[in-house]
Amino acid sequence: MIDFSNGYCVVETKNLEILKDLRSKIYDEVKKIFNIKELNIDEGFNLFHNHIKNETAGSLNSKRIELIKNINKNIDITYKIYEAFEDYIVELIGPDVLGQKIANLVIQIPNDQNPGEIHRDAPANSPYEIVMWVPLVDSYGTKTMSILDYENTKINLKNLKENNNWEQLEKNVYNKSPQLDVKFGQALIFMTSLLHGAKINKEKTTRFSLNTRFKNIFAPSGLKNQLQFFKKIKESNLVKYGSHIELEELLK
Amino acid sequence: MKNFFTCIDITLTSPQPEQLSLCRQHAINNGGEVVFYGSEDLSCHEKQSFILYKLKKTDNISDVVFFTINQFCYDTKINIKLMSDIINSNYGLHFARENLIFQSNEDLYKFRVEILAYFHSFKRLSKSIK
Repeated sequence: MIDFSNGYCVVETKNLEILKDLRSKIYDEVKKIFNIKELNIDEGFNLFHNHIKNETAGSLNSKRIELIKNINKNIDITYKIYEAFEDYIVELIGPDVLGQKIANLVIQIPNDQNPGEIHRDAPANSPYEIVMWVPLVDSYGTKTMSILDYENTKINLKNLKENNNWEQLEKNVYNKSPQLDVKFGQALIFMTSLLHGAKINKEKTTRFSLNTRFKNIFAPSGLKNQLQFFKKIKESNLVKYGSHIELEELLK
Repeated sequence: MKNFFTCIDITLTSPQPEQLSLCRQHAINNGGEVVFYGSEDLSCHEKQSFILYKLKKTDNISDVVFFTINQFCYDTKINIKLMSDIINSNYGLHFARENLIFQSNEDLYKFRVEILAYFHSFKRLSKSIK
């Protein structure tokens, strides 16, 4: 059983080969788009910033967008992540699973002044979704994710409403967040309604991480159109047969 | 080249040209062009009495693109019967916003779990927003 009492947990894949294969395919695209010759995947990701020193911000962003487009076109990232962490996902949301169509890739180079700002996904996402945050390199120190547990998220949102002080909220998230070292082969799973974000990466290496979302097929959706953002990953026999019966009734 | 009839969602507050633009783009992406425009009347948009009647009396239409699958969810039950009737009348059935295409009843059957789950979720959400 996973301990999800705080609304998040760090879990280890039971099938590292799937993640290694996924990482390798993503690295192939990175090499192609950024013209990187390094053969060692770990070195290539961690020292990515050394290869892009001459890129302008505009060109870097265009290539990043091209990379996300290409990897999602060529690899079913969400399904791979599902396979790598299936037991945990099914334990949390059940056997009837929707997964995000397009997975996100985040590249956090050292001293990048624009890390992922503090936010929560739900609302507008459904609070019944889970986020899978999957680093492609070992993530530690300031290179990892900051996250508030459920109780502290509630307290801080209440304070924000009363004081309207976003700077204070940001400080609190960073101060109260546990140090979550997440190695390659592990994933951070968390509720979409938790406050989370990233600090400026003060480590000497670059972080590459994936994130995608899963929800039960029949769990209430958020404001995002479920058919637009999600696809079916797996269904139980019960839902397979139940939906057959419902369809037959509707077609009468 | 496929000839599309487009049927926008009359209930939405978003500008109709935006809906049409997405529908046109969907038609182009799927090897066709929009040649006729229309929408349900507000008085019958839940039952969708207009669209199949109109399709049948319009010549040279191969496909119909709706702005969203929500247009089939405004009644008390999802109007999957109409989806099936459109397909049985030999029209390709498309939804621009969700980027969905159904060419056969088999396509519809294979996607039944997603559609039915979406309908239940849509109704629940509509209720909570009201």
